[in-house]
Amino acid sequence: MLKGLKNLFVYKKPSENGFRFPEDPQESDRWSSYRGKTRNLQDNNESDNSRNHRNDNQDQYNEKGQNNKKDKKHEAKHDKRDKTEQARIIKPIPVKKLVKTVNDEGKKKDSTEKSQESNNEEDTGHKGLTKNKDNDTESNENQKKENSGGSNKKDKKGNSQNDSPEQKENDIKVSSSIDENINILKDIFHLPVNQDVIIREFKIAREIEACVVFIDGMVDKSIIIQFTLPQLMDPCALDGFEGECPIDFLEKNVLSIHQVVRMDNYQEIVPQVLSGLTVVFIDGCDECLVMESRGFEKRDISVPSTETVVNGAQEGFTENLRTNITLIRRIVKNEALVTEFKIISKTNNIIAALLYMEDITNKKIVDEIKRRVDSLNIDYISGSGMLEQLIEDKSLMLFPQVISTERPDRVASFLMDGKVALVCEGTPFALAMPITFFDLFHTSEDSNLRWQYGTFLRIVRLIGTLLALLLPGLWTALILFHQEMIPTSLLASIVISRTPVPFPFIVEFLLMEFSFELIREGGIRVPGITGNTLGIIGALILGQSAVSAGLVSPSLIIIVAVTGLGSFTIPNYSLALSVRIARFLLIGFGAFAGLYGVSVGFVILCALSLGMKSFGVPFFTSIAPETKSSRDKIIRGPLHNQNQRPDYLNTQNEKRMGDNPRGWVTSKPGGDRGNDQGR
Amino acid sequence: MRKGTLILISLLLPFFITGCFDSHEIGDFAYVTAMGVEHGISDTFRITFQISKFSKSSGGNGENEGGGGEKNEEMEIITMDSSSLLSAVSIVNANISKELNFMHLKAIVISEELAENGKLGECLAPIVRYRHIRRTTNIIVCKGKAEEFITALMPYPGELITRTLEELFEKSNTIGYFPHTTLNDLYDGIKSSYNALILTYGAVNKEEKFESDGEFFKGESDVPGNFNAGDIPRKGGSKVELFGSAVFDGEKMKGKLTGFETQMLLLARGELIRGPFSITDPEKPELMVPIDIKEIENPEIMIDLNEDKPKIHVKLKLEGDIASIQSGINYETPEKMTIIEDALEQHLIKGIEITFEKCKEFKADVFNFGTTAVMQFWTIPEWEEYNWLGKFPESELKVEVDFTIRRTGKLLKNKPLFSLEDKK
Amino acid sequence: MIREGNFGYHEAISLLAITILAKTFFTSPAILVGIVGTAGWYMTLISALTAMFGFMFLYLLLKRFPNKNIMEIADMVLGKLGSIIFLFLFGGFLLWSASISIREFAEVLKVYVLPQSPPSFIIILFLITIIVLSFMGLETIARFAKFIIYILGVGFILVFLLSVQNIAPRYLFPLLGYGLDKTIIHGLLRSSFYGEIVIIGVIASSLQGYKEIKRIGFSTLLIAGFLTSFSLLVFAMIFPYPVGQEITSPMYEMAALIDYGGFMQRMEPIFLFLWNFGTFIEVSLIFYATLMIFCHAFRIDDKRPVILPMITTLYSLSLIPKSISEVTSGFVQTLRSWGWIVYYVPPVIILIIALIRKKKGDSQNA
Repeated sequence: MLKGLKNLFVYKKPSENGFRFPEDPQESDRWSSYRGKTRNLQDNNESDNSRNHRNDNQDQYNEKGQNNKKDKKHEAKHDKRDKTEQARIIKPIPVKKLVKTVNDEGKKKDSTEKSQESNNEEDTGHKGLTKNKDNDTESNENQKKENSGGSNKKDKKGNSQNDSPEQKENDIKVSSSIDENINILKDIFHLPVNQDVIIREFKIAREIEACVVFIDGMVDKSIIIQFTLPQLMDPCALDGFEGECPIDFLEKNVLSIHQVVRMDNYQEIVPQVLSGLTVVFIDGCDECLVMESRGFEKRDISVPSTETVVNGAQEGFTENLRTNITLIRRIVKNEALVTEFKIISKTNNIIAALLYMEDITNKKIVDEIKRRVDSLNIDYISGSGMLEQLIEDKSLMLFPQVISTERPDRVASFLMDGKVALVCEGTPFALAMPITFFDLFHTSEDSNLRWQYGTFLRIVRLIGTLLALLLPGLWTALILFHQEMIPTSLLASIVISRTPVPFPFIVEFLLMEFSFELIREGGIRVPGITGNTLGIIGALILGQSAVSAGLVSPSLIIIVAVTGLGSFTIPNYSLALSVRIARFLLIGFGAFAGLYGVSVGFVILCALSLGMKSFGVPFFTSIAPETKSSRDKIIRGPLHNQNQRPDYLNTQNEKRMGDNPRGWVTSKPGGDRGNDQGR
Repeated sequence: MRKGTLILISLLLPFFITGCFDSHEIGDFAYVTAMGVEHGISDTFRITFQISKFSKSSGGNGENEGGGGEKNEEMEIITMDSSSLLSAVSIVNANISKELNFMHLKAIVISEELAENGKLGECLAPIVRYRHIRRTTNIIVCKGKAEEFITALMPYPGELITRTLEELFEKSNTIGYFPHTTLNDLYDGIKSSYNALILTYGAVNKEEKFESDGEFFKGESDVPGNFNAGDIPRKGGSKVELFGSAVFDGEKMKGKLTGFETQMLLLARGELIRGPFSITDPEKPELMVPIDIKEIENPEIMIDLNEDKPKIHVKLKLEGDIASIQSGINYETPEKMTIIEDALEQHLIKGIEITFEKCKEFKADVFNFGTTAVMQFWTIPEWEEYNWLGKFPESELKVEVDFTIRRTGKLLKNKPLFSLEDKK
Repeated sequence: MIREGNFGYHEAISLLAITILAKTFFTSPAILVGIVGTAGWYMTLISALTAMFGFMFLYLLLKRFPNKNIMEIADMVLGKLGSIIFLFLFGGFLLWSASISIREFAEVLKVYVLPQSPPSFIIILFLITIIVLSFMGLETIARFAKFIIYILGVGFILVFLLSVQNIAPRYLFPLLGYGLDKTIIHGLLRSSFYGEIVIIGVIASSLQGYKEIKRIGFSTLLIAGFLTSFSLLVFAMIFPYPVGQEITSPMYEMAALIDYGGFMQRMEPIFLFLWNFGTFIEVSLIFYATLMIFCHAFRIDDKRPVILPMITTLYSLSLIPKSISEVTSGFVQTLRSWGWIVYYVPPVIILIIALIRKKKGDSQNA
């Protein structure tokens, strides 16, 4: 099963960067003309188009073909969107550059189409090509190659004759002379110092000079060894060809690669090479062929390690973006699921995908998230964790404002609720927003189980959370301030157990809580399998010997342990961490002014979290402020009663199911199925 | 940003000044679990503190508990003469390493003499104001010296004294030989215009009534429990016993009721949920028929205030099971069952009437009849003018008991014993 | 002027009802028993009815000027100077009542829980909370009230349910207390107990229209009246009237009396939290209303810079009373007996002036 999945992902990732490689000329033409049209209309349907076409692609590769049905419909849907606004969403492009681009187009008729293409792609945030218009981006590319943007720019300047670096970089076209191309490439990739980039020179059919360029390790070698070089180097390769530039002939007749596209601009080509594609330069052609050949090593799909469930899917995300999106798409098999790609960091060109349901999600949320993501101006992002911090509302707040999950099924359910997901390269986590406390508090298991069990689990979890948060503070307050409120027999056992302890209570307590945190953190950092054992052994030994050494009292160990267990029940790691921090706060307040202090601390904590918003949604929405909700807070109603999407998301389609989701209840047994379920 | 810093400061503040004013280590205290008050010799009051030392053997984990042998080590008794409780506390605090703490005080013991001299209000009522002492603290009036009582007050082996006392007082509802009285009751009783105060009566049993040798008992047994604490003919077990009750008029102790009378009183007040009673066998007066009684409804009390003397009518509705029949007479048959029922009804009526007469003598409405009488008044001034407690001694009581036997225990009927003597 | 966020029916009711109910936790019930004896529980219903009557005028005023709060109405009706004088007095009164609540809270807390802590310590900690809540804004305070009402509700029910063991209905007699006349007069006067309902006029622009205000106002009074009556009833059944009037915080004592032996005893922590949370909400709402009034009167747009100076004022005000007796029998007593003049009379006056000067809100149908 997994192997099959793997294959699926390795070979069927036609558009990881959102750039589509047209299959056959007809379609290519159609697309180009369509682009031209949309451009003329000053309308930005690109995202839809590309999505639809991507769907086409998937359809062709992915023989199931469920995804591609309603292209037209969606095209129509999105005519409304304002192009300029869209453009700004992607990236703050200086007006100067935009103007220049347009001018270029005007000047060079022959490349108009390509420019348009790239321009459009930029608008919709497609990966590598987007960047090409952008000076910053390009210099970033350079930086990547050489770690020094400044010198890069200078290099570029030296190479090209244009006055301004921007202009020059925008304008590097593929030359028709292979030698010149090789020189440019060597310059760009800093050959021969940089040994990663391979330029293999050869002759097509023993006649025409050509070379392939790729980065070692990023490509699937078999594509080059089996399907590129043999065919091109075949003496009969050019049989039947007449004319100057064989590029069109080669693309259509010789290369048996599933995705090939022609490009003529280095700004487009370089990022493709960097992301693992192979480029063929041919002498005499001012275009080159870019072939899909990505084949770098990646991790298999495995069981989610931070959000394990008993009853439910056992797939977790991986570090690979395409895989992750496919995992989600496999759950949400619907044409309304839109994936938009964006490059979010400037130097390492990390791609993030924005996913939402076109016909459910509130557009304002999508726009807001796009606005935030597009406005990022940062060199390096390693994955979703960093992205989360960059787009959250308030960085001072203790509680997470974006949920980070490892489970495709959770992301899918968030999407179906009308939330927006952001999947980022590099980490096996996806982000979803806007969220409330209850999203952090629920697990995917809750809805997989029957409602009685789900509710029970949630109550257990709630008690665990409250224990983890409040117990240490309350205990401190009771012991230090309110001895009269402890039942006498309990008091007696505490007094007995504390008799040999030399420390004041608060020192003892903090010592123990801190040791527990040490065990937790140490257990994670210790290499290998020792980690798990260290946690258990450490806790046991530490607790046991601390008691026998008379350093802490046994009753306290129980409190610390219960607190720890309670915090383990919190399903979300970020929430658990915030609870762990908040508990120290409450201990402080408890030691400061007893129960009164704890209530002061609790009120402050509540006030902060109640005032907190995640993309405009208050953290405790559906309790405070009260909104309609279909019994899905702590107590979960039967599944067929949860017919509303969360009210606070203001979704386009508020109903989750038909009026009678279980048609069989009202229909006659054995009669019609009466299936009236909504989608 | 300023907001953030402000919040941060407000959150971090506690850590810098941790441990303020009211913060105390739990081990800094000496927990007083019982306290005795009596007339002092060198000062007004003699106050005795019983301090639980919460050693291993008294805690929940009684692993080291060897038996009752070293019991005295768990308790520390401090007695001193002082003019008031607070001054006693401060003087004692100066002399022991720990601070006396009354938060877990379970019982206050007052000597009988003190109560009879009407010093209750003087010494006890003010301590309600004292924050540490809870209103749920039990109050006991003891025979003889309070100091002696406190010294003899020992927990059930392996238990805490508080738990022992708690469990002891819970018996009040099921046996009824003594009332369960708390500081709250005491305070209410002193201040109230509805009813008089009644307190648990206790004593140290010196085993004087228990005669190891002598002639066998002959004659008719008294009603069970018709004696006061200290007079119980028993041996062994706890030295301290709670039995009967002390009746007050205002803050002055007027007399005491025996265990049986207390039982009757609680029955009439509706506070005895169930309890065992023994009546003399109607057909063989030297033998007893013990019956378990359950009060199924609250007593119905009607008071006629129209005449000069208040006329009180109490109606009790009880049911019960026969626990045993010593005589072996077949009382299980419906015809004979009524004999038992009638006998018990008469027994209870007589008991309640005796108790009532005694209370009239003490001029104390411990039956809480006042709370029924008050319903006939509209305003507080009217009620206070009527002065129920003053009128109570003149009142007349009529008791009606409706008793039904429901079950007869494990035996359905009683076949006569087979003995040759009877055959003759 | 910066708009306060909006909040709905549930939030508003929680906020106002808690604000009103928080006062039952302190010395008021005992003083009430001292005045009307056993009749407190229905006296408060009379007060609630009176308060509804008083609130009606406020409602009529708000209806006449839809989507306006009382400050804006005062501006329109009384003119600039008149409005400033009125708002200053009204805001000052609210601030004073908040300071008394704080002091009462601190004193009672000190008596029962933190005997050795100085009142200033308790008050400063209290004010820190108020600062945080005020910084977060009215919306957060309302949300907090809504959030905490679950906890308060559970605690409230628990305390009263567990108190069943100590209940003696006979203590309710004589039914009329110290006389019906006394009860009714005090019932009318004590409508000040529900006086905080007029804060609805201050926060009117955060609520959704005058119809909603009507609903909120009357339901709040109904709920608060019922719950106050209920708690006074339970309290009267636990402590006979001679004892009841002596106790500093009857509700706390009530919780402390719960004793089911063994482990089910010493229940006052539950009550302590009710106490704290309730008072936090009460004072923060009153304080924030004052803040809004002053900021409006002096045309200050951003409230945040004003919070700290106002808190300092509140702090000094709360330290004025000499002793707990002065607080309870002096200040609180005055506030409860004569507060209605400030709470209910001004809306009537403004309404009359508006009628005379024929001032009306712009959009009558809104």
